Amino acid sequence: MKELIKKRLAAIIVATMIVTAVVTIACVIVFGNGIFRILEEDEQESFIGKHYAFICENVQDGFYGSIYKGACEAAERRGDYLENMGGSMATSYDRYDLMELSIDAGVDGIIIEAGESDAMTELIDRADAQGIPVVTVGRDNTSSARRSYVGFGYYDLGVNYGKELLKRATNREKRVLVLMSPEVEDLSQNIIFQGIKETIERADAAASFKFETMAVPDTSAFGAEEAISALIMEEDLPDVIVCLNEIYTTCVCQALVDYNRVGQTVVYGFYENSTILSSIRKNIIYETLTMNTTQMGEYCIEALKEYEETGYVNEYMPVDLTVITAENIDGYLADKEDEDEDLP
Amino acid sequence: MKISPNPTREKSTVQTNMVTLAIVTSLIIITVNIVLFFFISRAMDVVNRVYSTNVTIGELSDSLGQVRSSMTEYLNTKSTDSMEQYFDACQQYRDSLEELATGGHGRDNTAILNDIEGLSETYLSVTDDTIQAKRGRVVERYNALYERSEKIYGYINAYIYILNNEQFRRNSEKYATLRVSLRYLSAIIVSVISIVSVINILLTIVMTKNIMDPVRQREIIMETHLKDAELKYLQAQINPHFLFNTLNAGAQLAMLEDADKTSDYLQNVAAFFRYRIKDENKDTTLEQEIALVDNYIHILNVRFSGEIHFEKELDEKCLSVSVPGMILQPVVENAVNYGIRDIDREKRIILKVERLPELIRIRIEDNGVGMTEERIKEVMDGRAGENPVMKDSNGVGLANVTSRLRLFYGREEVMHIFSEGMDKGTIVDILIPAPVPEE
Repeated sequence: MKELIKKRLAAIIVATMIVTAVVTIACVIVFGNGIFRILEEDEQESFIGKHYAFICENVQDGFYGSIYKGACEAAERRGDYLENMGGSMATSYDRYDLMELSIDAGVDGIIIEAGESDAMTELIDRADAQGIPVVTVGRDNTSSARRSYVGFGYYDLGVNYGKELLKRATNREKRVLVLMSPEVEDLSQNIIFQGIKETIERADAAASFKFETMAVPDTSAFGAEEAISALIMEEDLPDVIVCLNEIYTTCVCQALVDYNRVGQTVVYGFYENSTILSSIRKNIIYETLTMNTTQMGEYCIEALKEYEETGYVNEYMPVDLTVITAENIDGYLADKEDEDEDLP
Repeated sequence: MKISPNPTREKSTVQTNMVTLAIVTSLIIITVNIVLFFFISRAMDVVNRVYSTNVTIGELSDSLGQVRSSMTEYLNTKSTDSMEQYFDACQQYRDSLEELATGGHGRDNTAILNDIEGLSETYLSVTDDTIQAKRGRVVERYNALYERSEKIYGYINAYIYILNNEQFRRNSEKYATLRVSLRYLSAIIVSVISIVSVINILLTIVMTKNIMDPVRQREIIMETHLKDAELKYLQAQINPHFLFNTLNAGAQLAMLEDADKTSDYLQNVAAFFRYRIKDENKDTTLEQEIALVDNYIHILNVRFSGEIHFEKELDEKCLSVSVPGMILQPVVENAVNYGIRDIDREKRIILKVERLPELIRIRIEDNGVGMTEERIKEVMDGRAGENPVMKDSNGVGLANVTSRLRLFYGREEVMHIFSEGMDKGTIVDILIPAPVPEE
């Protein structure tokens, strides 16, 4: 009996040992394979699709950053790759250099924040001549051989600002200051300004507004912020300030709070970021004009794809402008959240 | 008391157990080790690969520098050497580029690599054009081309720098992952070896206990016998030779005085002790054993006035069979002391030796008080309270006889005790294997 128990015990121990060994070996194999899969998986990850270049003045800027992100996701869904040119380089190159670089590198397509300069026109033409389609975004170059422009019409943007201004028309003449970039060659701002003025004039309200423009210097690295702070500190603030880009809007928001001038001027901003949105909510600025930048990014990729496939593409792919004020901000943010969730 | 009947078989089981134990544990440890070794060698492979790309990128950068310097030298000197160097450098650069292009690099790095490839093609075509222009002495053109090539060179270098950094970052990440996994692995190895060792020790304990037990049993038997022998040795300290010589002297004296019965008696006593001083380890024959019983009975009959009737029925052919010493006398002594001593009727002991088909049966039968079943069992199991130094005893008990017979013949069935109950007498049968008749 005792013998039998001993034999059984021995058998149980041997079985346990074998099971332990087998389980351990299995664990080591599974664990090892997991590790090696992690180590090797990104080595195999690559893309076989097209390689596009994205060029803008500053991808850290919320507006273009968001366009890039939208375009990047759209490209990835199609198995393509969108490179933020110069993004990870130690030397900072301007858009012209990056355009040249992209052409020399022989990318499959270029998305660029162009602007109406002759040098840019020349570069875009050169790219097109080498068979690289160019899509401009945000800032167009109308005289070049670019295949499509994705963005808002400058004139439309001006009309939008004009319509919003009209809501404030009174008998008293109001001083309207439009903050502009000093780039002389960039005609887009002039077109926007033109749009604002003509809208006011068409409504016979020209007498209610006195327009001024200010070229915000950006010669030094942080010149814009300094210039705007100086403006806000001035004794005689304009009745209305119109900002034509995101940086100016953000700087104005911050300066109004810093120098305790909230409520002393009405601000019309451009685009959105957390500072701008919270300023609207707190009534620091009156409203901002914004657009769906993710959609803009997607349109850019769509334009390139369409051109590749058919050889033709719409020259202008407009995006809708949205006005955000303290009244509709909650609804706008809720809609945006839903949209983000719906993204594939 | 139990003795394993087949030591050879037991030995082979012990061996099998040992070998099985060794094989099982070795196999497990070897298998675990092989798996671990495989894992580690694969890990080493990954480690080796991790930084090899950085080396290739370095080579690419070097060969690009060579293209540039040889071209510059050609522009400076227009020498054939620099021209040759330029073409060599171009080829080397292309080779490095190709080497780098093979193998995955992840999405971001593939894009960078695409850029480098595109830029390199442009660069090499620009440098070719520059050299052509230099050959054709179109100064303005080669100056412009040189400037352009410098710009592209800057771009390529910037990209190589990024690629190198990126690759280094990715490789460091991989290396970190690997290091963490190796730390886990070493923990696994330690636990596996500990578990296997603990189980191994347990297994060894259980199995060697199995192996050791029969051996231990044998040791105990040997010890018992040794003690028995020692006791008898002490008893034998009363110098038997002195006793034997004294008795012989007595016998001669009695013969001189014509006291025949006394002389007979003393001769029997002397013969009895002479048998005892023989070498105990030596076997004896059944005939000698019976002679000893004769001596013993003669002595007793003198003591008890011829009360014991001793009868013998012997098969003469069996008398020469060899047996261990002192197996019959203790049985007869037992019959006298516990059987017939206290009865009032005629005391009778019958010794029969007869041949059965394969055995020789030696039967000692008495007409004494008999034995209960219980007592028989006690005697057979050696549990009966025998006192080896009791009066009238030579000190050798039935259990000792049985035990020696078993060891001598290597079989269990050596003795049977029968009794029909109280006052019905006792029969003790000693069964020994009959010798195989020689052809």
